[in-house]
Amino acid sequence: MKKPNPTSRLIPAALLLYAGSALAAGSLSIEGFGTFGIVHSTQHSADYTTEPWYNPHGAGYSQNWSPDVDSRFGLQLDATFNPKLSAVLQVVSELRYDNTYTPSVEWANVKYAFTPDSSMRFGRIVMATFLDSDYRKIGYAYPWLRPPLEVYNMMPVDYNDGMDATFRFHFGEATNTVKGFYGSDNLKSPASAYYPRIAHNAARGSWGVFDTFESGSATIRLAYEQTTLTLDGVNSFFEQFRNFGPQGLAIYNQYNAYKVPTIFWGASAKYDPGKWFVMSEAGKSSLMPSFMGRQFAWYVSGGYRVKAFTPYAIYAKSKKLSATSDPGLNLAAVPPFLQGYAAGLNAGLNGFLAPISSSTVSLGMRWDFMSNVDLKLQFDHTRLDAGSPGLLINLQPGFVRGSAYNLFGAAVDWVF
Amino acid sequence: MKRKRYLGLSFFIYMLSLNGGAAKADVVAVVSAKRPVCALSRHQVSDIFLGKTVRFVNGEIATPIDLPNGSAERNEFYAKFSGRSEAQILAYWASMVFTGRGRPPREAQDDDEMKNLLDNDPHSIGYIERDKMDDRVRLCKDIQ
Repeated sequence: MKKPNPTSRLIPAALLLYAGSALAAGSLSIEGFGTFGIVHSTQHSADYTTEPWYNPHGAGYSQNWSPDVDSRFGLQLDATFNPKLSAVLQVVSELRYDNTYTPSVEWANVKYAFTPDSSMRFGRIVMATFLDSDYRKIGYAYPWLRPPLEVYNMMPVDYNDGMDATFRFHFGEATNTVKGFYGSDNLKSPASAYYPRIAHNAARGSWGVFDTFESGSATIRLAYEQTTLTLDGVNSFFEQFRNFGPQGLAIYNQYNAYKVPTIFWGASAKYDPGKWFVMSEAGKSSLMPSFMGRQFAWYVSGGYRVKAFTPYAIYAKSKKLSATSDPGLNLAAVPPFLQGYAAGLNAGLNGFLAPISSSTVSLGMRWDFMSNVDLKLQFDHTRLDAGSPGLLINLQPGFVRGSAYNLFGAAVDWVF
Repeated sequence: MKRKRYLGLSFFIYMLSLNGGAAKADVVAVVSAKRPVCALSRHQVSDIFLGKTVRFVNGEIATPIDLPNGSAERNEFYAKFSGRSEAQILAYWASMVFTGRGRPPREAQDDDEMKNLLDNDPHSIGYIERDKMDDRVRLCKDIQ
């Protein structure tokens, strides 16, 4: 191994020293947030979780009342060196891929504001795919117990290591904010039946543009993102098709999860004059060629504020637009001693191609019973599309695809 | 017929005054007396306090100053100028702070400190009860 260059160690030390002296003129503050929630699912043959890509278990099969689905705790350190230069570090503890609550770095970036209306950030930045995406872990910031999963889980990329630039324009009393980002992301998924190790996922060459127009109580937002996505664990399943000559290679090429060109379009509209709100968001994703294919999802939500209470409702729906099944390998063209193995691969392929779409009606209530603390109750009724396991994980032998289930959730959110 | 309608209207106004008058203080937006003029719509005042804009209409930097969280004047100010409750404003700042987008205004301990801060900085903007105004501050005309 190469010996580290002594100057490569000096540079961070010098930066720290500089930061320390710069901070003498600025300010440092610590804030935090948290949610303690429990949720019960009537589907006992699978687990409900808010992060199906990254969580090892949830409510239903593994836990009757699960505290692991919605609970989390975050701490943030803000350093303001001067009006132009600031930095943020946010660490979140929640159930993660390795079945622990080990804190992970959610945000870590340095921001330079050229003017009050234009800035650049370098470091780790949470993706703002939808209106509430970059603060979806701060329950106190939004009325729902959790954002509608059909929509908020469309893109598996949580954050971006790279940079973004923001420009804000004012037109009379309206403002338009344009944000562009570039970077990459590394994510880990829990071990699963087809891949018994922690899986490494990667998004590379990610970039996108978000445009947010605000006028009075109205907000309109358009989003575009693209990246190249590799799902290590899933791809190891598809690699097996390459053992079956040209027909196997054709299937691999059509459905593999290696360097998948990923494109996302999103649109949001919100009207919130204070006393009540209505909002709707829609997204369309294309992960082609891959087993994930093309998806469309949308939701509409409204709520009314009566003193400290905000009753609300959400209707969310997702749909897979591309192939949901494939004949797979032609068994007649496979040597007899491999036919059983090939049939198993075909079954696995169709498992991956099955839609994960569903529709959900949610009814809930937020109660702001004291400053900086709220209590939320939410009931969800989810109907899975034909052949769909939805976003449920840990599917057990008795699980019926295309069935329906209910969730009962309660949570306390706080910020300090 | 006509008289009936007037009766109805005066009853309506009477109910409005009952509803708004006694309990709530008349909170107004104010700037430093060193600023020659202040004319802003409620929406513009709200935007400055929520960090959606950082400038007065003439392009000069505007620095908002809040009263302490939970104070009656503060709650009345946000209800009047942005139509939002204390909890809604706190939730808004949670979404801004934890995404690194912005931080809430600095806080004055009470209206006297508010008036001193305004007096010292012609770029600052705050709010107080109308009958607590003195020669350190200038009333912002509500231009609707």
